[in-house]
Amino acid sequence: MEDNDPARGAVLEQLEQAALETYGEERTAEATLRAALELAATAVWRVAQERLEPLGPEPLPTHD
Amino acid sequence: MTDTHAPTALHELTAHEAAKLIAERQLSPVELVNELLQRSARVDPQVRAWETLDADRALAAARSAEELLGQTDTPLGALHGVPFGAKDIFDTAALRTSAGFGPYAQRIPVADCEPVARLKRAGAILLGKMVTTQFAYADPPRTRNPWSAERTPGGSSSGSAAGVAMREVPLALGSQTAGSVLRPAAYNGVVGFKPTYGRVSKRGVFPLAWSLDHVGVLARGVEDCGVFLSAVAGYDPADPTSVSEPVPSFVTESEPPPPRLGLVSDALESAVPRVADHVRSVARQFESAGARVVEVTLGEPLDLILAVHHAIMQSETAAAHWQLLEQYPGAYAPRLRAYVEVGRLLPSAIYLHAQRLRRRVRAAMARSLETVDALLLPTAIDVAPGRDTTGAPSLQAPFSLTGFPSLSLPSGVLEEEGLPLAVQLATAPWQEARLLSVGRWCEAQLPPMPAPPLSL
Repeated sequence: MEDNDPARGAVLEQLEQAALETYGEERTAEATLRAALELAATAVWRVAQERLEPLGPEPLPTHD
Repeated sequence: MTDTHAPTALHELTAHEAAKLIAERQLSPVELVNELLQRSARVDPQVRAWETLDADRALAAARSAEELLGQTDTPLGALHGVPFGAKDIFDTAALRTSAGFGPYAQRIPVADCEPVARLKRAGAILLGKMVTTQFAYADPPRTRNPWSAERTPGGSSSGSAAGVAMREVPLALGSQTAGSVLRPAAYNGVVGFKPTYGRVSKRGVFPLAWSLDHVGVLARGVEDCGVFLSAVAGYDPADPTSVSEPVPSFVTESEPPPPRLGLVSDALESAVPRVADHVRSVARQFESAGARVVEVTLGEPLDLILAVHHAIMQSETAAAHWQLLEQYPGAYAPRLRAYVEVGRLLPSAIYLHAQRLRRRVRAAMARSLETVDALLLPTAIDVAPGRDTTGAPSLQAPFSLTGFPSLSLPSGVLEEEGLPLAVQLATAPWQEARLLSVGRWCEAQLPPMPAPPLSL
């Protein structure tokens, strides 16, 4: 399961730390923010798993 | 004006049927607008699809449309006298456009957004604004599902889908960043269509995530989607995301041939069994009617496609909204607020990595389409869920990410729950004419969709 993946756990930890520093403990503990952090951690982790060489596709334009 | 109407009740007319009757002087635009206003007054309290009804101006426009009918030498637009609704993120001149956001409750734009302006130029009459989730994100709306008041109508084009299903208006503008046109279409038993990214100008439409936002339409038939697209398509130099591509005819009288369809196996696997079984059964029905059906995939893993979509959408939504959120923190709906707050924390390298991956996803999806006319898959993973959510965008978002055109067709009613089922078709960029042709053929094979219980 992705939820148990250590790399995803590390991403979540980084995002939680950033949230604590930016929004404080109380806000970071709120359910909607927690849910958003979890979903973002999965997305960031999954995107980061894919390797692209520097000479691969450029980021823009998005619709050519 | 003659009084010989077709036998169909006026509120049951689709947009192209109404346009035809009006052009033939068989139907008065004033009568049609009056009928829809009266119907809205009667049935809308059950679903709350309208944000603002613009009755006086709609009637005035209808009277002008009727006057033009008396001038035989004046060419009529393709939607002359046909009423439409617009999701309340589409700017409308002198008519409140609040995007579901409290501080904008009295925001009155000075000009129409480009899609509304083009529909008006085609002769269509703006009946009013339809409920959107706040800024077209995912916080549940007040609108109810016409098939069950306990279920979500979906979002974010909630009012547009429910209002079309309730026969309050034949055509309504919606927008889609993840799945906000096609999913509400599926949940409400109507047709939803999203053209290729760049085909329709977004000037004057509130952004959620610039590189993913699409203008689309909710209607009660595929032909209306073609009429709609013919009216709004085309390059707009004032919109940097608008693309200068030839605009073919999207309306055709000819009988569409049986299509070659790619049944998307990985999408079926992600749907609940009853929905997957239904779509397989529809595919067999299409095959029996002459379609060629082969199994394909989306080309890249669905979880990767959705992660790429999420990273891009959340980063862009944060960029679009963080300053307004700082100004009005208490006015933001809870889910959108959290989404923006977390979006600000995402690394820029991840956003750009996702944009690079997006090109890979587009190329892979294009390869899946090389030997078929369209992909066939469920529109949504299940029927409409409860009202605490707007539903999952996982099967609509792949086409918002790639910008490929997609279409949702109502395909039946789930007996045990009495809720609509839907299939989705998608094809290669700029091939809307082909998609609509495939859609018309598929629509003709499917049973007619009954009106929802709350509309009766």
